[in-house]
This record gives sequence, C-alpha cells and structure tokens, in this order.
Amino acid sequence: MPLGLRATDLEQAFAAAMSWSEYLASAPDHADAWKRSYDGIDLTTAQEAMLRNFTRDMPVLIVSGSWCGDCVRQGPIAQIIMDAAPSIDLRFIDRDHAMSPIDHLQINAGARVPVTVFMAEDFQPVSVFGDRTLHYYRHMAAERIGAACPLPGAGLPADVLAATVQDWVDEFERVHLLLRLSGRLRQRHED
Amino acid sequence: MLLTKDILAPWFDKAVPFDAFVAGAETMHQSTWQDRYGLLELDAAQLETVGRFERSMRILCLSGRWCGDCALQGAAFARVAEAANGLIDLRFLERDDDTAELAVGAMINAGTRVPVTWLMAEDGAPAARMGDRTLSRYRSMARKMLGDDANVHCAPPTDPVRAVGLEVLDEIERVQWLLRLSPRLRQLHGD
Repeated sequence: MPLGLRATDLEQAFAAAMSWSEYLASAPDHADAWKRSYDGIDLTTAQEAMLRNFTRDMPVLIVSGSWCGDCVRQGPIAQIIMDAAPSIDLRFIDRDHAMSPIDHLQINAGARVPVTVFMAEDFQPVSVFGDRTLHYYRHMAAERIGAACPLPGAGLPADVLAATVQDWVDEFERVHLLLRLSGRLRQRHED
Repeated sequence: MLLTKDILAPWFDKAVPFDAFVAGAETMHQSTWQDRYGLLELDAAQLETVGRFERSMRILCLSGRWCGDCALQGAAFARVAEAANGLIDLRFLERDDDTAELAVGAMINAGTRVPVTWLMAEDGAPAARMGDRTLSRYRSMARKMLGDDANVHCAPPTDPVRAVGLEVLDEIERVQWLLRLSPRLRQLHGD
C-alpha cells in the first residue's frame, strides 16, 4: 500500500464534496457569514486576467467547517478565484464527512481547517495548502489573536485581506504553471 | 499527502545535515550546491525575520544531489537554519532506491519529483509540505518555454536565486507562526 493520498482517494472525496452554493445551502446558520465574506473580496484586474487565461483543468478540494472562522474568511477567497477561472472546479467537503481526506492532512497533530488539496485533471495530487497563509499568520501574530479559531464575522483589515488574497492567487498560479509545464500533460494535450 | 509523524520520523532519523549531504555529491554537483549557498547569504531584514523565530522545528528535504532546484532550495533552507540559533534541525535525503517508498508517498502530479520538503513541529508532527518548484521558478520556466503564451503578469525578479531564497524563508516563517500560535504548543511551553 503506497503511503499517503492517492488519486482514487481524492476522486472519491471530490465526488462527495459540494459546490459553493450546495455547501452554503447545507449550512443555513452560517451561510450569511460566508456570503458577507465573499462580497467583501475583490480581485485586481491583473489577477482576473491571469486567472481567466488558465488552460489546465484543475480540481481543487477544500476540507472545511462551515462554523470555522478561518474557513469563512478563506473559503470565499478560493471561490472568488474559481469564479474568475473557468478551468478551476472548486468543491467543499466538511472535515467530518465520511469521505473527507482529513486523516491524511493533519497539520501539527491536529485536524485543522481549512486545508486545500490541488489536483491535476485526473485527480493526481499536486499540492496541499493550509491552514492559514503567511500574511494571515503575520496579522494573527501582530494582533495576538492566538489560541482559538477566530469567530465567524470578524473582518480583516483591507490590506491584510488583499495580501491574503494574493497568497491564495499565488498558489493557484504556481499549481497551474506546474500543470501547464508538466511533460505528462503537455504530451496528453499536445501543447 | 502531508504523511504522518510516524511515517516521517524514521526517514528523518536516516537523513543527514546539509554539509554531509553536499559532501556526498559528485564534485561537479558539489559546486552547484556551494555556488547557490554562496549567493544566498541572508540580508539584514531576513536575519531580523529569522531572529523572531521561537519554536524548534524539523525540516526534511527529499532531494537529488544532481538536481538544480534541489541545490537552490536546499542552500536556501541551510542559510535560514544556520541563522536560527539551533531552532531548526535541517536534514536531507537522496531520492534513490533506498527512499523510493517515501518518494512514492510524496508524488506530485503522478511523478516522484524533487525537491519535496516537510516542515515539522519539534516532535516531528508535519505542519506543511513544500515542493517541487517555487512560484518564481515556475514563472521563469514559463517565460522561457511558452514565450508570449506564458500568462505571467509580473516582471522577472532582479535576482532569480535570491527570489527563491525569499520564498523558502516565507514558508519557514509561515510555519514558525503556525507553531508559535498553536494551542497545543503554547500549552506545552506555557507561552
């Protein structure tokens, strides 16, 4: 048995996961916080142009908790990015769902969320991203928020939000370039 | 994908420090590692960042002594570890027949790519996995291989080697904050 997550595991988890609208509908008590967070996020013109021109199909799975403040802040960032990039298929799966791959994604001995798995078009694993980005952590450290997951609804300063969005865009770009330049996929797509 | 503490611990025990790993390379490859190391001295701002580190951590790099990206990232990790006052235990493993099981467990886009690096807490619990190439390296490759179709919307870095050095430092800093703000470790250390 190979170590770690395999493409078949991820494909099954992805099939069990939900789109943004399905995920919010599944958590009516928290949906408004997710929508408010989404409405407060803007991409720059350059970010939109880059994302719009992605050419490789890229399934992305966020292991999340609808109740989790960090997920409320970061999940909508990923959704905004997907909305700008037709080649990205983003799904959410609850951390405690039976098909959740969280057991393979423990961070610092904990089942932390959000944790995001980037995959190739055939669900081959590429990257794990989480739980928080560098700029988000710098903000937390400066504020000494510290021990607990922040409460849903507490906003981020605009500069921290913009830097956190850029952290996310950077990882989407990195994975897309990895896939775009992949010998395996260039041969398949003859490009 | 991140693998577990129990899986990573025996590999970490087998791994060797930077100098010993480089010494095991063929002469022509040793010079690449030494050259990159020479170009990646930390500047004052980077030393200040490293000076704020508080948590002990382990870093395990699965590398190829022949691999240019491994030399670049490995030298960058070595520079940060040396400046971190003993907080970072940095070790390297060669990707070969003896490490095939680990390499298969760390596959990226269906390939046993290197470098792959695990950043761990002081007790070996994995906190992040990095690899294979950084964003700045992929942007450079895309410009060269795809030309006007690269879909890269920023200027090339003035110093491509030091750009990777900064990306490595950023990821170590992110994990340092993750560990510093971890309730598990704050309780353990009473801070």
